[in-house]
Amino acid sequence: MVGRYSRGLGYLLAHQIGDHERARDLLQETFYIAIEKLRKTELKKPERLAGYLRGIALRVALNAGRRRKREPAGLDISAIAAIPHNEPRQFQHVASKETLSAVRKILQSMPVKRDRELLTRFYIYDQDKQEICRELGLNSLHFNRVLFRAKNRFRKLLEKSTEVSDFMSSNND
Amino acid sequence: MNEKYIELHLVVDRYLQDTLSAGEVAEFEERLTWDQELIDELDLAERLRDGLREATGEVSYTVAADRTGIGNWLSNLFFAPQYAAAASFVLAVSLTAGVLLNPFGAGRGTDGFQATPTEIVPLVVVRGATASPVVFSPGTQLVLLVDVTGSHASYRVTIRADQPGASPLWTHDDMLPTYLESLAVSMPGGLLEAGPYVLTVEGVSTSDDGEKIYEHIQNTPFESVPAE
Repeated sequence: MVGRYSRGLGYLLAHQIGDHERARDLLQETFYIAIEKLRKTELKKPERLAGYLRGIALRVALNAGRRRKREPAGLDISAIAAIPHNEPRQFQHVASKETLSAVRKILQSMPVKRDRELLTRFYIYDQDKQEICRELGLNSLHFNRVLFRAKNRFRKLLEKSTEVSDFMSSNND
Repeated sequence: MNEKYIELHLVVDRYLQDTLSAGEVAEFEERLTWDQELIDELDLAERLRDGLREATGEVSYTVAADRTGIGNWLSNLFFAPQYAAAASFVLAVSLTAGVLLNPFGAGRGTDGFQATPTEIVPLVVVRGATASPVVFSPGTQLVLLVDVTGSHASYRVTIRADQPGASPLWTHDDMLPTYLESLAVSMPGGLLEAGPYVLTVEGVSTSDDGEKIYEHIQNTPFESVPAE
């Protein structure tokens, strides 16, 4: 359960509280509560486990401002310890530069000013899709396609950068 | 909430914008707890969003010049607001290989190999007029550039005669958009006899069982004309 749901719940918590670092602590708290509850009461619908965990995570995030002391008596330490500990990667500062470099390349490779403006309005100013289409004279399909292609190209550029970083780090070892 | 819904309704991006409905949020977050690909998608969107915000705070960037000048023309023509009301026709513009592939002209290169003349023809559909001809010449290689409107990862292209019940004459699966984000359909110049044809583009996706699913995207008619 921990292995399967850690990453997703971690993202969910980070989105709720806006802090990835703190979300990791809350993730441990979420699993602690879930494991304790499931030990006492079996889930009536096992297929609803994802929703069940989500509910617990949201409540944990909601109470994040409050300080609670919990005694870990009877806790399955090995399960909690199995939660991945995401220390900043050695090349995290490089990864940020890679992201920026990839974004610049995407913008430079878009010859149509309107497409660049689409990305700017949608991702930076959080403008609504319908509003952007109306103001720029676009149809829905074109809008989706510009986003899809930008993301696809971004993904490939990042993958390529990661390969180079991994190669460099393995050579430096 | 399935993958198609998430893609079509830009759920990942709208989640980051906090513009999903309460029901959509609940369904999306529930799926997010276990769907590793969805988490990857969210991570990518977040990084793109953060990268764009940081990039636009910097000194202006320059746009790479388009080598042929046709990219802007195609994009503006195809996506102009007047598109919906415009007449439709298939516009074929022939570009010689000497511009893009062999600046010294076709023929025997210095390494002794015979260079095959290649013609690159963008197929653009604008509603309205009659189809313009696409010249097929034996002994040459023809590359049709087809702009697609789908957002699939890959495509299947089929060419058949424009008549009921016609069998495919040429087909290629798992094609990826390349030059100018179009599909480059390459074939021998002598493949098609004179007459009307239709080029069909289908988007390719995969079901949960791993089966390929083909979704019709567009038909592009054109007229094959033999070279004089």
